[in-house]
This record gives sequence, C-alpha cells and structure tokens, in this order.
Amino acid sequence: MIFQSKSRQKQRRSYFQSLAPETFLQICTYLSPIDLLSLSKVCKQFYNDLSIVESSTTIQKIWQQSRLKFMPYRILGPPKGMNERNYIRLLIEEKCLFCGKKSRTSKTYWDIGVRACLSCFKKRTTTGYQLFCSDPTACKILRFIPYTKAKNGTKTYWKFLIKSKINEYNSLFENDRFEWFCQQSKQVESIECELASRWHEDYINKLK
Amino acid sequence: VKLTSSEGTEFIIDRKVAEKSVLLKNMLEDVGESDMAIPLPNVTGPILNKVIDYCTHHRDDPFVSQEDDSKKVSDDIDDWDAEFCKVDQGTLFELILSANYLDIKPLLDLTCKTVANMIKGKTPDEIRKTFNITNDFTPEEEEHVRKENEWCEER
Repeated sequence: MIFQSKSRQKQRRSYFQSLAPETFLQICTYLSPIDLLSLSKVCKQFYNDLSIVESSTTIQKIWQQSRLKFMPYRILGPPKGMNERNYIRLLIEEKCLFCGKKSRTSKTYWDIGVRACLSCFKKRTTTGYQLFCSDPTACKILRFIPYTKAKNGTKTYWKFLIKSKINEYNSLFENDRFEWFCQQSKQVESIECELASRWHEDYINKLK
Repeated sequence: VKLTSSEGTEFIIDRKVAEKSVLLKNMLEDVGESDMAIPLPNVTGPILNKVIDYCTHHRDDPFVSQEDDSKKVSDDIDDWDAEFCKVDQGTLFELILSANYLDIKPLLDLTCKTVANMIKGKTPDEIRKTFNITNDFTPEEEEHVRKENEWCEER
C-alpha cells in the first residue's frame, strides 16, 4: 500500500525530508534493522521510501545488508513470500500476529512464518494424538503437514493447515492420489529441511 | 584555483584542495587552469568555507574507491571530523547537498554517518522531534502500518 503524501510537494518539510532519495538511502545503509523500522514509521514519505519493498531491489538490499551487518546470526533470508521488512518485524517485534498483543510468550513458528503468543497457539493447533482419535482422514495426510515439536516430543499441528490439506486431498480423483502422495512427501522433505535450519538459527541466536 | 559561491564571494584555494571534489577535478582537467573563477551557484559562502576547511584538512588523504556497503559503519568518525560536524542541522544538511553536488565522497560519507548517528536508538517520535518532522499518518494509516504483518483469516 502506498500512502498519499502531500509532503513531497507542498507542506513545510524538514531538511531531512528534502534530501535526494539516493542520499536518504545512503544514510539508511548505516542503520540497524531496528532503526530502519523506527525510521519507516516516522512519516509517510519515509514509510513509502522504506516499505514498498516488493517493487525495489535497492530497498530490499538495504534491509538485507542491515540484517547481515547488525544481526550476524540471522543469515537465512525471509521465508518464501515474505519481504525483508516484515521478516525483520517478525524477528524483532514481540507481537503475536494473531491477537496483535505484545507478549513475552510469543514465539516464531516458522512452519507458517508467524509469531504467536502461547494462548493463540494453543487455540489454533492440535496434537497428533487428538487427531488420531477424532479424524481418520487427517491421519492419512498428517505426515505431509509441517509441525512444531514440543520439548517432550509431542507434535503439534496448525488446524488450518490440516483443513486445507484435507480439502486438497478430498478434491482429488482416486487415480491422482498416488501421485499426489509422492509429490507431497517430496515437498514436506524440503520444508522440513528448511525448518530445521531455521530452528537451528533460533537456537544459536538464543545462545548469543 | 578561484571559486565563487552563490552570493558571489570569491575563494582562492590550492588545486590539490580543489581536487578533493570530483566535479572540480574533472572540470580542471577539461578546461585547464585559468584565472577565471569557477562559479558554484548551488553553494553559499559559509558552506563553501566549511567544505574548503574539510578538504584542506583531508588534502593528503588517499583517494578511496567505492567501499562495500556491507562493511560500512558509522562509528568510525575521528575527532577532527566529529568536531567538524558539530554544526546546526541546517548547515549539516547543506553540507550533504554540497558534498553531493561537488562530488566529495568522503565528506558525503561523513555527513551521512552523522545523520545516521542522530537516528540510532531513537523511537519514531524521538526521530520526529530531532529532525522537526510532522507525523502525517492519519489514525487509520497508523493502524494499517501496525497491522500490516498480522494474520488475516482469509489467507
């Protein structure tokens, strides 16, 4: 979303707002991700300059370099489909993205790329055991769904992921199911690979 | 080398000092030295004075080529440079503009670092106060920014 901002033309502008875009960006190359986030919330002009990330590789690069420079343990890039700015917010802001509240219990769940507080997490997830007792179809496809593992080894699944996977499965013709299974197991393998590296990074990050 | 600022004040400086500016360096190479003053309509006298101060102090510095962005830091400013940048904000930003116009890379770096250091560790509100920026977000837009990365049920 681009905000209409009058400031480029009329409104009295501060010296800072009158800088050429490339000079503004140069200043940004010295800033940490936290400072970039603050700067992007100052006024519409800066927001537009720093947040329309999808359209500009220069801006993506500034966020990326800032992350690599100031958060050396965050080497992995954003999950697929997420831009650098939202990735930084995910890493820095202790906000649950379901209820919007800041919470110490909030954790990033990389399987869906969302930070959630404990109560929202519990509300939206189910354990494999619960499913086993209640939904036999779900069990057939459960191994194709990424999960979060608790310390005691219990696997927890997001309900909406199960639901969409079941819908996908049910919409298939009987004949196509075998192929679908093969495809799914390949896919889940690569997802699990990625998740493992993200958990590893979380872990290293906690140590430092 | 003779320079004239926007209000017509004349400055006489060493060629070596002038050559810190890539703009002037190229110009001198192209036209050769002459008695004619080079007009700088975009730079005022007091600012040009500061710029000359800077170039004189750094006249013997080696020319550094484009650094890698990923290695640049803003806390490597030496004492003289830090003192040099203790000016009011108007002057600081004028210096940035002039460094840009005259193409003096180290001065541009220095002034940009100084501005970056003024931003560091501040909240959006503190940044607004520091630079005298008005918050032009409407409450709805602020809400949008706050919520933009939140989960939406439909996705």
